[in-house]
Formats: sequence, structure tokens, C-alpha cells
Amino acid sequence: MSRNWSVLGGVLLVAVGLVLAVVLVGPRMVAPEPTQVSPTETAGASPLESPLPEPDAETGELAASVDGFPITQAYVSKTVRLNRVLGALSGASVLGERETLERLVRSQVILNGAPPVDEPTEDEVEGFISSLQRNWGVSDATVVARLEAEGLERGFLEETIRRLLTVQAAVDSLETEGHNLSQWLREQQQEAEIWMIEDPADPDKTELDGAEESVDPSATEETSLATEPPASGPELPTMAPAFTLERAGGGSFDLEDRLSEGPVVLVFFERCA
Amino acid sequence: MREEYGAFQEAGAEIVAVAVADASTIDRGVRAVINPPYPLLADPDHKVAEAFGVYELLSSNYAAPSVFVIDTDRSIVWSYVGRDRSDRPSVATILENLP
Repeated sequence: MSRNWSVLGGVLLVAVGLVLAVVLVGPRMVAPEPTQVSPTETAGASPLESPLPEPDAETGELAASVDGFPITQAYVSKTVRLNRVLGALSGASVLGERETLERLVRSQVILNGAPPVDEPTEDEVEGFISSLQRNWGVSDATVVARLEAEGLERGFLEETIRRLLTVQAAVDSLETEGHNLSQWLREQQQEAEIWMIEDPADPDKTELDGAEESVDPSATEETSLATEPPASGPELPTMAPAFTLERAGGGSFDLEDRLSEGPVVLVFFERCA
Repeated sequence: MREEYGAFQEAGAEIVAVAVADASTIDRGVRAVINPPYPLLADPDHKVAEAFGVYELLSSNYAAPSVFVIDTDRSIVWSYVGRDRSDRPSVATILENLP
């Protein structure tokens, strides 16, 4: 089974799935307590031979490690709580701890493997946060209060957004270089030294491979549903239903009108945050 | 994506993005941030997402990330439904499947 990482949605998805994409963001790494590590070797990855970074004052149990970059359980927990806050504000569903961790690992693989990119400026980070708040129709004070209720500071939101934008810039950079992102990510994940704690909810599952793993346990078929979906897949129409929809920024779009000029590639993305 | 957009245009196809959200939300949230060259359509009642069979496939209140290549006779000549939020076909794959 394959899972192509977003290419078409490279820009679109992250900007649109604002809240959900936040979990793509990796932590500002804090060093782990190596003795507390219970790592699991990643499929296709070589064992982690390099020493783990030295612990510092902010040590915590390690949840994962990507080429020596540790992701602590404390950080995963904070990210889950942040997403809970953002999910409550946006109405979006919130990822569980495991999926959050897997996405953090994936984003770290991207950051490690992609060409270096500039971090976004403070203005860019604040502009992004402002656009989120406008979307949600809430003030900054409300966001801060919600964060505090989860034991988080606004700085963590800023840091997460900064990371998100950095990951996005890395993805853009890869696209500009002409990489097939899904293939690139698969290769990176095979080459990377990835350690992850075992999933207590699934003791038999000891592998992490973001390019291969199904997030949806009910989904077992191939992702590509070319024209004829498998029997177990969703029922998709063979003829596009006619529709007219309002266009963001003004005007409307009528499918049939547009089809008179040529084919249409219709891309659904998740609801805006 | 802007670069790839040109490839779609050269192929005579138009990219259209649809979100289950109202137009003003998309306008503020997406156009304000990336302002893509292709149309962004609002499907707040998710009727179109439902008609294409992708509404709430993955999670409630969401359309599954998916791509439909629609020929001029309205036939869907190729489609791809993501298994999770980050699962999208590559641009090259979509281009290969244009009629």
C-alpha cells in the first residue's frame, strides 16, 4: 500500500488544513533522557548507532528520535493539547497522541532531509496566527486563555506555527527542485534512523513508516482509486454531478460552463480551519 | 503549485479547489495566505462533496482530500481519494491522467 505525501496539496493543504497541519510541525527539540528510552527500530532503518544528544535541563522521556533529533513525550503531549485548543476553536477533529507523534516524526524527516530554508519572520508567524484568529472569529486574548487552560503559553503556538511554516517552505523547496514528494519522503524515511516508542495501544505494531502506514485502520485498499474503486472503497460517481458554487473572492463557478472550455481537475480539501 | 498550474493550463485543464466552508472563511483563511491562481470554491452545505461521495469519508464535517479529473462530457476519467489528510496524488500523476 502506498501513501503519497501531499504534492498537489503542498501549498494548499497546509494553508487550508491550518489547524490539522499544525501537527506536521516538529518540536523545538529538547534532549531526552537516554536511559528512559524504549526505542523501536524502524522498518528499513538502520539501528541508531550515533549517541543521543546530551540531556539538558528540560529532559523528558523520549517518544521518538529521528537521526538523533529527539522528540520527547512531553512535547508530544503539548502538541496534542495545542491541537485540542485549536480544534475546539475551529471545530476540527483532534488527532490522537500516536498520530500526532507520527506526524511529528514525518515533519522532522522533512526538516532533516530537505535543503535548508529560512525560518519565517516574526511578522509572518504573527500574520499566520492573525489569519487563524480571523477565521475563528476570536481575539488573541481568547486564544491565550484557551492555551493557558491547557497549560500552554502563546509562545508554544508561535513556535509551532514557525515550525509549520518552515516545514512548508522545505516542502516548497523540494517541489521547486522537481522532487516527487511522496517518493522522496519514502526514501528519506528508509534512510533515516528513526526510533519510536512502541504504541501501548498496539503492542504488536513495532514499526513506523509514515509513507506506508495507514492512519485509518479501516482503510486497507490501495489509495489510488483510478476510475473503478475497489468494492470495499467509497462509492464514487462515474459522472460528475452538475453544480454551481460560490467562489471565494467573488463570483461563482459552474462546472458545466467550465467544461465547455476543457477538462476540470476538481480537488477537495478539508474544511477551512 | 503555481508552476504546476501552468502545466495544467497548457494541457487545457483547469484546477478547481473545493472546501466545505463558506466563501468568506476561505477568502480570509486561504486566499489571504496563499492566493492561488486557481478558483477556490465554497461548499458550506457540503452538497457537492456529498455528490462526489467524499464527504465524511475520513472524519465528520470534512471532505476527504480527493481529486477528480472530469472530462468535458462530465465523465470522471480518473479519481483519487486520500486515505488521510496528507495523502494526495502527485501533480505528475494527475497530469498523466488528464484526458
